[in-house]
Amino acid sequence: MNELEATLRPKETEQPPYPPKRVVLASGESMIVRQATRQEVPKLLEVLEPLIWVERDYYDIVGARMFSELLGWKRFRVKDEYCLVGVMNGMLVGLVNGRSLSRNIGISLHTMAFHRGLRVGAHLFAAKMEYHIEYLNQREIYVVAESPIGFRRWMIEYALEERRHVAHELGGVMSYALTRDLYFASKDRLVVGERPVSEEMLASTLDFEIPDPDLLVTQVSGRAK
Amino acid sequence: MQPAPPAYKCSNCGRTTTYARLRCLNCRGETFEAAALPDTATLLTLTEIHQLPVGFDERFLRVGIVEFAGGARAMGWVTFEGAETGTQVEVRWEPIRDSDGEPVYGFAFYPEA
Amino acid sequence: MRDVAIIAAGQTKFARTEWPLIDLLVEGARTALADVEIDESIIQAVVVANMGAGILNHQSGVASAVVDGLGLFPAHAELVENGPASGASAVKMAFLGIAAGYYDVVLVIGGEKMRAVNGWESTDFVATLTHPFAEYIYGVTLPSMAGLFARLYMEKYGITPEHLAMVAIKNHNNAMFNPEAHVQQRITMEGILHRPEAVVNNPIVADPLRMFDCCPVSDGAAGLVLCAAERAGQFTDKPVLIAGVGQATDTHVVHEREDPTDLKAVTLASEQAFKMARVGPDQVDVAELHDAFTILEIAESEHAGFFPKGEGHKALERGETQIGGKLPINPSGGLKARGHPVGATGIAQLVEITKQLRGDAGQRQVKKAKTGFTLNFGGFGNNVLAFVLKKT
Repeated sequence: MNELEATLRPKETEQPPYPPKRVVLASGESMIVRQATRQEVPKLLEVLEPLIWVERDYYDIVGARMFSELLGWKRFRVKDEYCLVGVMNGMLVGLVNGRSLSRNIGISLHTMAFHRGLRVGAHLFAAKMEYHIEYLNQREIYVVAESPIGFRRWMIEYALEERRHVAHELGGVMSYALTRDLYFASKDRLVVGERPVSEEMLASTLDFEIPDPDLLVTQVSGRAK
Repeated sequence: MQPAPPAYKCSNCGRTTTYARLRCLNCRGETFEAAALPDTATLLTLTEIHQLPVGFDERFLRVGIVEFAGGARAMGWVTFEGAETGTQVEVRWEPIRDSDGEPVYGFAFYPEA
Repeated sequence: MRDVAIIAAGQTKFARTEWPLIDLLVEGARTALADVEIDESIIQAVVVANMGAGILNHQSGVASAVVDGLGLFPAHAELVENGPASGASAVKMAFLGIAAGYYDVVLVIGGEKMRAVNGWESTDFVATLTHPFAEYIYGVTLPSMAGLFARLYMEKYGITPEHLAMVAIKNHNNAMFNPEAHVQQRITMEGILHRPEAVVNNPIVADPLRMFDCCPVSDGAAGLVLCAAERAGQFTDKPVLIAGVGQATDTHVVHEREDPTDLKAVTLASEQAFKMARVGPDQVDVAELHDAFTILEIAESEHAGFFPKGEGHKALERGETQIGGKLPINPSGGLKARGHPVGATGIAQLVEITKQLRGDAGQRQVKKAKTGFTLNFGGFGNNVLAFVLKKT
């Protein structure tokens, strides 16, 4: 790596990995939640790209931001970012990402579910909180939302605390925080799943398929085919 | 001092409701007199609402229906955990929400002292 | 009074849609009109069912706008708003017009665009049908009214959360064969109740009711063409006769009912419809009940007379209400899975029964169905309509 590139790249902190877990959904099917690799980013971008143009429920902003965050991670332009994917029957059903601001503070970035009606987003958001608190051992996570639906869901379900002095890096809006206490107070009703995940099950998630982009846009936008 | 909870007794048949009506549900009578409700009542049923409508930012609310001795019934907020059908509660009439800064009164049910 | 028949039936896919309300209603009408070869100029009236245009879509004069959208001038047009029973009420009004001899052919359309607002606003919209001072001010929702009822009903008759889940599982399974259903997702007892994950998969909405005990919030429209039975043969080989119509009301404030577990209006409306049709509940081959909440399917199946009180959940357990059972209930998926765009529901129920009686219900067809029943439950049981349909 040349000197200039070294200057441009944020220095990565070594982080403990997120141990994969298996969540049995309402359908009885298993979703495996595991950490994505940098090599998988192009596939994730392929799913996000068509959503960048869906105005409904702020999919455009969430999609575009998530696209740029993951691209930034892949090309070494974001510090200490990670992404978790949910894979069900070999199909990508959702993803969440975040990063560490410091040893003690986590940043929640985005949550996106591609399969509706099975609470995939709720499981993935919970997995993200679990990672920050239980594996990265952070003190608190800064959370904001672009969409009213996301805001109401996370703020009310987790009873997040205001951080009036913290402008979140997503657009500079005032942050809310999930503290360790809040996390453990609601863990029983929000964070579920089994570990360890068998090698075989994990292997089934490695070369995941991605949802059909047209179908996905139709589903999230409510646009007639 | 809190105002007394409302109770309207039909002058004709005696049926009492806890909200104002122009006509009695029982006899269609149109005159009512103020009645006093007992301080306690029995919880008939209750629910914990987790998906609340616009205007509520709580994670959940408990709502129940009570029956007073004499048969009048009222809906109100159940303010404590562990209540079930048949629980005796103390009934208060108090500000439960506000509307444009003005208090809105309603029934609230507390554990019986 | 003249006999009245259904000569065409159709619905849009219930889902979340970007269509404006009027387009949605027009599309619902087009699905019905596409079901029959008819010179549209003979349609004398359009009756439109909708509950929430004023609140949800900031629109009034809906029926006139729909006639305009369809280009059916100078047909008569009226809007019928009767809460979640608007659909069945609209069909009743059309039925009366034809039965009285004033009309021969009437188009009925019901629809709702509920997803124009977010979830807590649509929850509030539906809650506006409760009593403003005795109920609404406490933040009640329709699921919570059902929760209050469910707790009592379950305690009284020994109904368990598993029974409620059985209704949901059955109706989700049925909807897998209904391409117009909003929710096409199989669910399992394990996933929604027995696994530790169930706390997240199926969270409490208004206890004892959980997410999968409640219908989704849907956009959609459904339509029927009604015609004097004596003329129906001109348009179709398979007219379906509206043999019985019943309706009853009950107190606005639910706790004013002497026995809050007694859905008196369901009983009375059903009895009236059966009496008019000269059939008994035991002669019904297929029913669409108003399962906005799973508990309601069980309670209504008893109050309508299909099972004795306290026996509905046992019939469910025995599989009697499945397709292939003694009395299949909600082969369409019901409100639970087909979806519940409030103004459309009562009509969508009649669309389903019409298809069932004609033998056009595809993979969800109930064999040898000759007599069908629908129940559209308005308010929290304060305005209920029942229909008996017969194959001709």
